[in-house]
Amino acid sequence: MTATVPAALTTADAMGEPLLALDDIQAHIVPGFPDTGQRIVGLRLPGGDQQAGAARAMLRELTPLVTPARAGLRHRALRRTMDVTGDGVAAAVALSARCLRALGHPELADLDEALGVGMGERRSLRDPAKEDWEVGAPGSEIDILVILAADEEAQLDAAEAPLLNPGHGLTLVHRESARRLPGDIEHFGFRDGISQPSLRGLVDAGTPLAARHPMPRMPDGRAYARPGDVLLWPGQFLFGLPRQSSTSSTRPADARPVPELARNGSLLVYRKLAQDVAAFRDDTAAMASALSVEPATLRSWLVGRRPDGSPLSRDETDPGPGELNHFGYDNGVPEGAGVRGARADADGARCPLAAHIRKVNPRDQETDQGIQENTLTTMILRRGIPYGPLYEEDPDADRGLLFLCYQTDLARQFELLVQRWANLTDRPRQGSVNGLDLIIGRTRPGTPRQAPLPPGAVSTMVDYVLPKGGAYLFTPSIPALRALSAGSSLGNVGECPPTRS
Amino acid sequence: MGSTLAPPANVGDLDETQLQAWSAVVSAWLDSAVDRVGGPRRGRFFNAARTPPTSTPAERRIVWDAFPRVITVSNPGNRAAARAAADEPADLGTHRFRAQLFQGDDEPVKLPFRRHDEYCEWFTDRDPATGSVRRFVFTCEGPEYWQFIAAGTAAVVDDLSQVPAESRVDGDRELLLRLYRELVGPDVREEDLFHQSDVYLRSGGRKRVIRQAGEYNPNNKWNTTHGLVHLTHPSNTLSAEIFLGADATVLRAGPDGTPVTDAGRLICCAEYGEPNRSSDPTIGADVNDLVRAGLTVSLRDPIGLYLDSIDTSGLSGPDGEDVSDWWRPVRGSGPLTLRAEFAPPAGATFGLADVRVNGVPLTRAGQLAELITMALYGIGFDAGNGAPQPQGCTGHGCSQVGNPDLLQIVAAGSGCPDGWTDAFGADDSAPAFTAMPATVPAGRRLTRPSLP
Repeated sequence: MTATVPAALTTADAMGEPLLALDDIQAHIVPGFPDTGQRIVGLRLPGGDQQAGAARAMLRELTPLVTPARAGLRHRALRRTMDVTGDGVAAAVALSARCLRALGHPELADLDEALGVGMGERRSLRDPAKEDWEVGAPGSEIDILVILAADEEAQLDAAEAPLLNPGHGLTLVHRESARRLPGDIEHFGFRDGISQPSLRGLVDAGTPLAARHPMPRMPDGRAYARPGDVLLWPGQFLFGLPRQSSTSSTRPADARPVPELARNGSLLVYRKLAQDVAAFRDDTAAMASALSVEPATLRSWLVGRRPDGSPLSRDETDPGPGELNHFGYDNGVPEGAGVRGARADADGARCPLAAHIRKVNPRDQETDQGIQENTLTTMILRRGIPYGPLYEEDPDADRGLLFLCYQTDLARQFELLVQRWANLTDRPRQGSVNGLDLIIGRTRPGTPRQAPLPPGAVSTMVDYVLPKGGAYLFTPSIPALRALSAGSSLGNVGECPPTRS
Repeated sequence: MGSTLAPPANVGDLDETQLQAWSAVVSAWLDSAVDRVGGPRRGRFFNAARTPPTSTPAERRIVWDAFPRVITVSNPGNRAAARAAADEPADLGTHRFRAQLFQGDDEPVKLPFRRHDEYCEWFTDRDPATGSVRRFVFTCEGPEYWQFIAAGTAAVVDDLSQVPAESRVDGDRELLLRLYRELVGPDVREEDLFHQSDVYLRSGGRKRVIRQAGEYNPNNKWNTTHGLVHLTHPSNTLSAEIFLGADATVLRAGPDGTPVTDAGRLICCAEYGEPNRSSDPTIGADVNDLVRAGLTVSLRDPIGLYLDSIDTSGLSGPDGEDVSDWWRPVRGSGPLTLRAEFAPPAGATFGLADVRVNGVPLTRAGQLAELITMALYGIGFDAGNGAPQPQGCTGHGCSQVGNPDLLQIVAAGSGCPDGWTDAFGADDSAPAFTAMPATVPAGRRLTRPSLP
């Protein structure tokens, strides 16, 4: 049964969407940092009576540097239309529950249960013991995370320098340098970051954030900004705004009641994920040999896309840019608006049920969590970036992905994708053995990781991706940062001009 | 009759006569379920005890989460509030009759039940002296099995003629009391388990008896406020699940003839369950999926709802100790667990108050329920009939304005109530496309358990 949606949403259709506070929302949430380089710095608050003062002093220094969404959008547009690079440094700031409590705002620390206890306590993730973490081990948990983005290393060096000796009693507990790889691939060689939801909402009274383009009539009943570009209500990623409903692809659920300081803020997951390229290549080559297929074929099955990003769910291997996400699993998609259609692949004949992109983003599938509309409510905004050199440049170097994502419900979004879907073999598709997500899925120690693939099942004791720790954080709005740094309410803070520093 | 149908998880409570009688009860439910969907012309449901499959049936494991979805979506983003809400007792009079119930000489009475409507209910067993938690107990046993033990065949089928006389039994109060004492404690008295006077509603000055004196009381204190033996939520019945499975074998189509297949629309179109649960839409859609593949379906023997598994990876002691062995099946085992407890084993050096669930102190059983996967098993075989012709919708879904995560079903062709709006697009509320009559055909009287 198909839902009734217009063949193409128009700009007028978007007029019922909320006006987004682009001068308040941090640009790392929307639209993200497109720069090729990033520095991520983690600071730890002192203990005792100095905590609140140290946190406020640091935030007073950091807040003017934070890039608002409006500036981020302008920067992104310049990069796209005029190929402008090197346009200053963008910055984002996120705070731990401990920091929020130190600032006298336990209501923000408890905004989300998982935020309140911290990533190190979330054992269902099946991460290595937190004592062994490289990032955020006990005593070195990150209280203030600063994300700096620019194209030039010199710019990043200059912006980062003051943070390396932060003063105010804070301690530098984490520093990571990240850079996008050529072709936007991750270290296993696959193009990454292809599939992202688009936020509904207006940038001004007549302009939607995501421009609406002609669309073929879609059988999954969802709203799209363009083929493959699914629209979600912004409350799924920003507090205080209408949320995506678990029963309707198009109608919003009311905003969740939250403290005023939480409005336009978001929950950030930060994880350092080391990638063992040699192990991935060797182990998958052995699996491929056992199944009498090419290693490249098997690796694509594990990912769900070919290295160039073309999805296995589409028949052709040369999809255009508008076709990379124009496919479904339970539903075929039609041709039209300049894109070709694609057949359904409900049982995983082309894209295995265990494929990474299918496990953590089941798209139009019904899942163990409910109807297909509900599947949309699990989506996250990914903001990850690789770290370390290409394997060929230095095989012994540390490399991987700095995984960052935004949401407003850690348990129902990031944790569900990892704990329930990536880590469990019987989910998310009902009635089928899905297998483990062999890219990121984890089992209990000593238990093989297994997945069914088209020619047969594979099993391995090798981890290709090893979590090295991280943090759950709250990314406040810029006015909230000002209020927190001033120890005041939202109404008593000054205005700062939005900019990239 | 062909083969016998075992009690859930093959539990060994019953003697041979009782086993045969239980099989006859379940078989009668299955017969009613087949009739309910108008036989093989409209649906594709079969009674394996009466007509064994002609080929090896395929199995389908259908899973869902134990924590009530309706409570989760009513408390968006606030797990603690959802868990607290789940532990608030409900009253059958208020819930079902919107009225106060009475017993004896107009004495107001409540018939408590739990809000846990995903076929998994729990109880927090506290030390009466200290108030500290001794164990968290979970069950997925439907009430009918216990009504059967308490009062025999007549208590669980409306139409006794569907059960052969030689397969009927009376209740076994001695067995009931023994099992209650094993599961809850030695203080249980037989009279606690049965209504001592009629329970009734007052309507226009007249009494309407809903429970008779001497009848087994599923809402007795040892199964509600003071303990847990079987499911209490009015929707948590095994027979209802069988009927849902049967109803879901009817294929459905929208007004334009397009098949209705997705779980949300299907349950509203066919009106076979509660759309706000995780379980009912999931079970229905999976069964419907088998029928669309040309299979004739039923539920796998032993027919039951099961505590399939618990993900214990998030549980730890105060210093990170592994407490996965604190989860202990008590009735059934493995993926066919009917009852389980989470409690410190003998010799434990710390107690439940020290256990953490993903870093959060374990204070409510709902934290464990969030980790539990429920399951039932469908079977299907190719009877050579192919898929039946789709029927029109008899209902459609409405979603609450402001919180469209909450649904209700209304009759096809009718509008949504004030404060509610069509859930899945305007087309679904139009009069039904009808390839064949969309009504339940006249036939044998439907056999349903005597609830409430």
